[in-house]
Amino acid sequence: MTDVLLEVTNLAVHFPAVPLPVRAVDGVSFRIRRGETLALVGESGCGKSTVARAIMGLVPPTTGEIRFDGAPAPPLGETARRPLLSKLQMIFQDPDASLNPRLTIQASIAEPIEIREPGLSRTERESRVTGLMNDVGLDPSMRARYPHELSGGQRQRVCIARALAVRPELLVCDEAVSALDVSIQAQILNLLVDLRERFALSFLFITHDLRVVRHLANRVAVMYLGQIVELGPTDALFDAPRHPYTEALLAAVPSLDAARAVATRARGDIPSPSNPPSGCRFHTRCPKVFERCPKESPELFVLSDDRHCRCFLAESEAVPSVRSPSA
Amino acid sequence: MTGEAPERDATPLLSVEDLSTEYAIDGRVVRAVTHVSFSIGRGQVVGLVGESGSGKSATGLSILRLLPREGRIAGGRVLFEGTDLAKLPEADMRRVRGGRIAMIFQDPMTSLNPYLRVEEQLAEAGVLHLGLSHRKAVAEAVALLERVGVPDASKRAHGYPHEMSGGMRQRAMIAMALLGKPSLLIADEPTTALDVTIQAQILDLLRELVRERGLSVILVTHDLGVVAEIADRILVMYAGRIVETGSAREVLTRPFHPYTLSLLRSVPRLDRRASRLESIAGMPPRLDRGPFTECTFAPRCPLVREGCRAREPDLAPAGPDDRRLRRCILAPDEVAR
Repeated sequence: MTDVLLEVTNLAVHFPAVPLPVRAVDGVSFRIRRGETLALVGESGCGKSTVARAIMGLVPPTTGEIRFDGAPAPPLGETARRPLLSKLQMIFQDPDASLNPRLTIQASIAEPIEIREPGLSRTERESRVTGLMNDVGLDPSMRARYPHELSGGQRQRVCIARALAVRPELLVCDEAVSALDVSIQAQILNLLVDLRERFALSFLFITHDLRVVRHLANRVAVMYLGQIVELGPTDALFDAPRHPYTEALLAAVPSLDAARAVATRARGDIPSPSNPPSGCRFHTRCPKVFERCPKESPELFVLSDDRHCRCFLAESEAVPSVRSPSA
Repeated sequence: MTGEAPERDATPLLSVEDLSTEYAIDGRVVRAVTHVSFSIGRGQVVGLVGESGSGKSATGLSILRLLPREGRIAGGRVLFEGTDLAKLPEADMRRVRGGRIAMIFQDPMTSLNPYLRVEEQLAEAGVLHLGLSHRKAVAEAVALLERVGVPDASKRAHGYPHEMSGGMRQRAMIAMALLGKPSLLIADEPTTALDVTIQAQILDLLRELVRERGLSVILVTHDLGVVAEIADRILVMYAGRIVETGSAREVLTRPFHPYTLSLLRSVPRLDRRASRLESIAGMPPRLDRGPFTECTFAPRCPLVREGCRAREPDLAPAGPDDRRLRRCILAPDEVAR
């Protein structure tokens, strides 16, 4: 057992397309330590969901390596992947699409238990389902209901119970609370925090919502057009963002304090990941662009152990001779 | 229970009086909007906020009578520039829609015809509402696309909607809305499907249009942050009712209704980390179960007391000469501590 639970090194996922392949993920490296919550944030097309799908084995990496608990993660479908299936679970944005409408809540939650532990008696299985329903805040008397009889928040709780049923170590949440109303979103976020503590879970939390990130994550990786542009501890990164994209992203979040000054705006549209801009990929929208940016690609400069930034403006602070390894 | 006094103009541009809207679903009557009254002056931005099923979208749709087949206005008046839209013949209503009142929606793709060049569908509004020739309407459309920040406007106008990004399509929708020279724009979650950096750009644009053209905007949204950014006044809706209204800044900094307070506390903050978010227990009431004999928020209210169950409170001023209204029997100080 190592301290690093998940290690992603130089991951690239390219999808064939005409005329150019879509470089959805283009050289992404990070680590998640045991008990840690890493948030992967960014806008449409930045590749955050593709990273998650690659980790889950749902899309094959073009290059790069994914290691779980020190060992390489085999692709989905190979027998060697089986032991990993229960350690890694995923929760999606839309609980409607994740649940079989023809299965009762009981059957939905029991299904992964049946597969993982076929030897259990019916009574044992049912008591496990009861326990899981209690864990996620669902009244066990609802077990005979169907998904359409539940609210969106309750359905997401069922999805969480299903994920927990196999006792995972890492939960990958892809926009898991984005479709919920704020009051319900708060309930689910509180639940995830509780479960994280109770079961010593690690999280890869993928979201576009920076407010949720601040609340939940220990560390944040900001992605733009297939690359990590900044990485650091949550509070440090939010309080003093180093990359102009992180700055613009934070400034764009609508604030309840109306008196806030209109700060740095990212200009124009997000370019296509099949044909990313030359040099720094953010240079077409960057408020701080200068002559070097369109010509050269900045590396992910290591500013300190846990602070990385892909911007020439941070280069002078880079720790010398360290060639940005995985974070 | 009628609306507030208009803030800037003696005669408000739009005044909604005692509006109720019902949907007939599976033989049951769902009261989506119940006795809603408010007004909006020229150049004002009113934020209509609430969660799913609060009636915010149904209110917007009722104003333009765009309700689906199963919906109908069950009562009240919608006075716009002196005319009651609720009683206007359909043919006249058609001239109002896309003319004096325009509406934009969350998903610009479903509002644009994928088979038509952008300029064709934009020009339609100019031909229909302003009687322009087709050529003039296209020129006007291109000028407006330029105004709303579409780069290479004439080239884009000649293209199709799918060739544009989501942000560009929403800009095109705004240009289309402006073409009929509206005095009121109803924007239903106009930035919800957009990335935050693009959302910020669209909000900047709306702000400019309000300033530049004296446009009035009803912004329907679930996002309190968006309201704080752009709205002068806010209407907080719950279970088809307005539960609190007042200046956006005042309501968002010092809410007088427990629902507004809970809602504000359940939004995670960007500037600090809370150990726990306040969530609202339970779910909103089913709107086919009315009329209600208690405050509709009472079952979920953290501050509920005996009197809340006696009857549904009216939307009343928070103080003797308070312009703020709220539907709660508690004194403002008991809510906003």
